[in-house]
Amino acid sequence: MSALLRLDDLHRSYGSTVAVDGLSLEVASGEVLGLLGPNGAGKSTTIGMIAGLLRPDRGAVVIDGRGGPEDPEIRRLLGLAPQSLALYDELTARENLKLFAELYDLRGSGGRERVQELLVAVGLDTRADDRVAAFSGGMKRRLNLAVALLHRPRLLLLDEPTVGVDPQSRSSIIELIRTIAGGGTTVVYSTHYMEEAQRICDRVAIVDHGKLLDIDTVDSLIDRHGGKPILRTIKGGEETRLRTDDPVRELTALFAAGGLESVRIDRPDLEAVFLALTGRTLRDV
Amino acid sequence: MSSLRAVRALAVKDLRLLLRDRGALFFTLGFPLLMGLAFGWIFGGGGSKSRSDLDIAVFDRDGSAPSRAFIDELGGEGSGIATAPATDLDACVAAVRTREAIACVVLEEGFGRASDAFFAGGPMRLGVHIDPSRGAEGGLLTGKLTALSYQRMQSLFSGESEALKRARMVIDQGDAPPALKSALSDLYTSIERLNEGDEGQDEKQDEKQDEKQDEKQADDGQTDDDSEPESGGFQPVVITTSEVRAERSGPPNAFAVSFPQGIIWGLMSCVMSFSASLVRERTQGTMVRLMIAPLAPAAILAAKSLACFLTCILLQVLMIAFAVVVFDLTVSAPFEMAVAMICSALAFVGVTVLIAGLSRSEEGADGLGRSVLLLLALFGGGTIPIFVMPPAMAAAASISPFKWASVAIEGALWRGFSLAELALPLGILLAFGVGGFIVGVLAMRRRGAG
Repeated sequence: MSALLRLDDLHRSYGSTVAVDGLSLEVASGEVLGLLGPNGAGKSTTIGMIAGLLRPDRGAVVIDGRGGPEDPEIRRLLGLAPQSLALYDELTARENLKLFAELYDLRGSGGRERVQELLVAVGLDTRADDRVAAFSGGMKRRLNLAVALLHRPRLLLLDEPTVGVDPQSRSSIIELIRTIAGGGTTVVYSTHYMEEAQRICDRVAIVDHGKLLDIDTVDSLIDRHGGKPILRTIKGGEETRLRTDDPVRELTALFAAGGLESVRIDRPDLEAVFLALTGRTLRDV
Repeated sequence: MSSLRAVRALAVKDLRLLLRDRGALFFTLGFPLLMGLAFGWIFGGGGSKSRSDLDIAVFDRDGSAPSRAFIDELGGEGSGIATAPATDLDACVAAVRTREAIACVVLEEGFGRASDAFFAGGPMRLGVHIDPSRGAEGGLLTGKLTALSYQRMQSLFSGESEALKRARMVIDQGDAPPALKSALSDLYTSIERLNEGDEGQDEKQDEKQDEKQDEKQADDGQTDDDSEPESGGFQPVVITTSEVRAERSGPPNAFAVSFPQGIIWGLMSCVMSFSASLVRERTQGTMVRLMIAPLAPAAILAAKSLACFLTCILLQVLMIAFAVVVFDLTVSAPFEMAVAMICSALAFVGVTVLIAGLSRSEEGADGLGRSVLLLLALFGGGTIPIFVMPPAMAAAASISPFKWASVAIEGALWRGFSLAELALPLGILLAFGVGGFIVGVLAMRRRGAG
């Protein structure tokens, strides 16, 4: 697949603080790429540079092989759900969508239909004419996402789209993103929740301190950095941890010896990958 | 999407947000009205005088008992006229010139004699000196004077119809010369008509006045409402009107001052509301979404400016319209008023962008608004009218855009300024607008938000 997005050696600093430090990567058309890293890793700055909200100190953003986001025509290809809720609280959900639809030239019956379609998609059709100020955090997040989808962007930038929402809304948002991705939309998904990255992303880029530490599929990252599975057993009240390439064979042998009270196999995950790459867990930072 | 359509959509959004923010709406439209009413009531003496009274200066050149009675009747209870005696003609006319009175009424020599003996000494003579811009009040006043004159004459003849009939009979049967008989016959006919009632007589009188006014357009601006009686007719009162140009030094009433002051407070609220909303776009993230839309960055600022401009214009139009309808104010220079409103609105759009550019947060915009704008409004005529400020204070007020808005609006409202006279305040307002806009945009760009 051809690259819809290419980042070439991006640098961006805020005073003496380096936010993004030589980030280069490509995102193929139709791919879902996760930017995984702790808060302050440079994910939002990277999204900001892709969207054209921030100018890189060095390096380039190339979209669809044509140019950067400073071109309004290129920006038409982008949809952004920013981390902060970019909504007008005193307008209704429908009015918010209608306003942004107009800015993207979606007017008349076509615009109205698209607005209604998205209200249904994010489960807000019954609250469409209520003011956003009266919405819960989860509802606002869903509407925030809906606004980004109005003009059917080819490249969807999602900056921590599930921050601060209840599990039900989070699940609904993730399902919606999977549906969108299934329709061929390219997604760049920034998060510090590894479960989300594992669930949604085709590939994950691990970033920390503005640097790209590695980028690959989840399985490949785990294979490369996650280490062996850990077999945890309790026998005679004592816990034993065994790192092994073949936990099933080891387990069979332990069962044969008898006396096992409890058994658990911990497969390595992105948390382990992050730990291996940075020496810290995502939860530490 | 065309930029114009985007600007319109965003401006409509901003106006809708203003309408839904009850606090901002009150301070933008309701509070200025309250200020206009409160200051007007205070400046006007707490409503001690009925605003519908016509202030008339009266010079009694005749000084007779009937003339004094006439004056008492003119300013009597329920007449809607407040009379103030003048010591001489110059003082009387000066009262009109300085707008202390809307007209000067002069009861000429012989007024008393004429009113007691209608057919002996000619008609009662009254002079009215009035500012030509007070045409409606002038018509009301001459009507009142005419009616009073006829009432006075009618009172002299009430119950005399039988006596007249007898007098006519004596003359008809006597040996008087034919010319005298004819004159007396006309006289009796006139008196009988008078006795039949005022209304019919008034109508005929008005018709006659109109015809004669058409014929006698005086070159020197002086017109007679009635002329000398011609052969075969009788005129009990002759009212001579002359124009006196009122000086443009004082407002027609307190509300002409207080409503421009109210506008100042409204403009301040507009600035605070829209600068805060522009900052809010940045802090709440909606600016991010607008900036990623396929719009020129200028369109976003243009939309905000348009909404602010329209609100400033709406505020001014509503305030002036209210003052005109409710307080009988007349906009002395309507075209100049429109220009003054537009320039004021543009100035405060610039100030809005400046404050938004200099503020990092909504709280910052609010603080800047409360501190700087409040001070500028206070010194710019928001509480003390510019024209009553001590010279040093008035000079210091020149740094405030509110002063220039106040000068421009007052100039067009009651000072009758021409465009040439308004050039300085309008120019300064435009300079505030352009300067504020440029500095505000540069500050936003520096912050990476514009």
